[in-house]
Amino acid sequence: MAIKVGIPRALLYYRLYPLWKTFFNSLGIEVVVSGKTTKKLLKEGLKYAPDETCLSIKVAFGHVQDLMDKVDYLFLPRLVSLERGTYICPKFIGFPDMIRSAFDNLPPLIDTSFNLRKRPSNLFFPMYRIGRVFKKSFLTIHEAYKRALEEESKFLSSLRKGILLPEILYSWEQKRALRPSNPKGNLCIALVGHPYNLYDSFINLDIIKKLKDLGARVITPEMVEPLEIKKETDKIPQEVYWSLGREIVGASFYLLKSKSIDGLIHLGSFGCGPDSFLRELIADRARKHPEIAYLSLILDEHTGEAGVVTRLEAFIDLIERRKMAGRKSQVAGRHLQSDKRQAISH
Amino acid sequence: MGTIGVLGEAILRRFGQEVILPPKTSKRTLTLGSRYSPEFACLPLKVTLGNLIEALEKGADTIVMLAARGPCRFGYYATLQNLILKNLDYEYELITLDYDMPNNLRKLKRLAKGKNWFQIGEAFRFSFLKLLTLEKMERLAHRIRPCEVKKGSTTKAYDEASRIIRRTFSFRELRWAKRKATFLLKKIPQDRTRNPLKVGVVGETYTVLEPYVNLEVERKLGEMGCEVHRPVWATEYMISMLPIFNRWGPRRKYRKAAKPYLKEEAGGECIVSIGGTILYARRKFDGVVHIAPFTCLPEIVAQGILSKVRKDLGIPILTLVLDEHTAQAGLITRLEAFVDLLQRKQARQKMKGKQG
Repeated sequence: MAIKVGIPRALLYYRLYPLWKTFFNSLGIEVVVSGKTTKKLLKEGLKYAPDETCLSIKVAFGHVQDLMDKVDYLFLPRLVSLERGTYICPKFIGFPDMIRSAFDNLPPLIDTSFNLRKRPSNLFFPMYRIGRVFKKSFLTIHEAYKRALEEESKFLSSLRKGILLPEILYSWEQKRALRPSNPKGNLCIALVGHPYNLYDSFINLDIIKKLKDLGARVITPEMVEPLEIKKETDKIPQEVYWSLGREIVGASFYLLKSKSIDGLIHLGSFGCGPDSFLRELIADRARKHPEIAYLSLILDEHTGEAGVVTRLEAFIDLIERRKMAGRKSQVAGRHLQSDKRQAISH
Repeated sequence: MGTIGVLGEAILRRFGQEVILPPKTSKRTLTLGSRYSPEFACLPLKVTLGNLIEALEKGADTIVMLAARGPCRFGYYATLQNLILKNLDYEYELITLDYDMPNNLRKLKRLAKGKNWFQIGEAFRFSFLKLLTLEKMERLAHRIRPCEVKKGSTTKAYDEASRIIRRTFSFRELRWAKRKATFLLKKIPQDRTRNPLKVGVVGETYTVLEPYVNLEVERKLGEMGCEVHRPVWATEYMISMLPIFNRWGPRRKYRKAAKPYLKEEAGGECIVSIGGTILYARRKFDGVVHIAPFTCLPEIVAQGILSKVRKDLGIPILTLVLDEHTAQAGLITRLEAFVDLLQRKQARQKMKGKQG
């Protein structure tokens, strides 16, 4: 019987799943993913997670609990850093240890550190260490690693084409053709936030679908070219040192500047450290672009669906009314702004 | 800004700069800070922002700040506070000292108003010594407080001592001040027959060091009859910030102790909180108080892991999460209950010892 490795459907699952899955499958290991987030799962997570953590970690605790008894190994890599000079988040670094202290009788954890902060090219070493856990030979591991990287880069490149991540993930996993469902309308909304908040349709109350139903095309940070993100973040006085945060800030700055969007929604989770700072940066920049509507939503385990729907509808209404009013009001708005700026400088 | 502010003040004074200290952190500071900072930002950001606003109101025209590249949010304070203050239309110059060493030296030279490198080095040596002296007094006060005969006499003496030390700006003055301060503290009438409880205070540096923010937890514990020890000291913090001492510096022992629970540093004082607790448990301390600001990233990780430490090593841990709304009364009740528990445990152990 093949060895089963469990991967929780939380945190960076949404970004790195093709990499992990291809790697393990090429080694002849079966991958088990926890089920989609449900109310019950979240409740389990709340029971075990420390009270002060952010929603995403609480959800992740629930997923681990869900997987615990079904697998031989739990795969919880310690993601310190995946890019030069950046970190992911302190909670990601401590996550395997938090899990270990919260649960009894866990299956063995694979908590290899991924620290590419100083040398960005050594992704192979941690992967090799993972392979060695299963006593695979160097060549097998190398082969699997190469194949995993290929799949991951294919996955990332299809992300840039403006197709939503869950759809790509679905078609990749089921080996089916892509059927992009993003409406082609002229209303375009950018939805920025951490991937594990954007794509977990339970904790964000299926915001993507709601936006699509309201006739909006949704753009997420992954669809922005990394080069553009880098260009934007280089202009900030101090580099944002959370890699996901950097992507969010860079993407929203780029989208605000390019004027290709009608509205920007920042989706944060309650208790997320980086989000609290990013929101300030994004809100500050959004104030300088009054023609683009800006909405900030914070998710927690109690978010009521009705409240979110109302706010989204109001948001879309506002944008549409603005469009109807046409250029006239926009120009007036800009005048107002420049007047204010002059007043300050005098 | 707690005791670390002393360091900066002393250095800049030695450089011949005029230093404007913000008024002591007060209710107003907190209100100002939390009004303008992001809602879910951590408490230190809010307090220091309030401090900065008050200093700017007093007429400061330059702000010197540290920036880092850690995973913790502290590294981004300078940029974010700058953004907020600029939006509030304050005029000032910001000098950030960060990980870019050559640039830092250039900035230092500019701050030093034409002093040579030897003088700059002396300024650093002096202020470090001053901070060390202050901390020595604090340690002494922690030891004396549970044994004091008259309640509050240690705090009074310590305040006086720290005032004497803070006033000094040369090596000779400091030497005299040290003697005087030590004398002041040592002459407090003490009752050495008492057997005080030993309590460790661990947590995030800023909240542990700034008495206003932690509602003077250490003083309260002391007056309830606990000898307070803590692993977080401003000098140790400054040393461990230097890249050379990253691995071999004062944090090494904590890292070693925390290894079975946390394999990699998660930024901030996470590792110190865990390692410190474990070391205290090994030294047979009666309990540990863990202080964390609300939504502090590293301390949340620590909190999760400390629950396991508590189970494994059997040491009582009280976690206090502080935010701008924390009220005195609630905190006192919790501390009293905790100390009560420890006392009862101590008494029970004594009984067992007598019987056995």
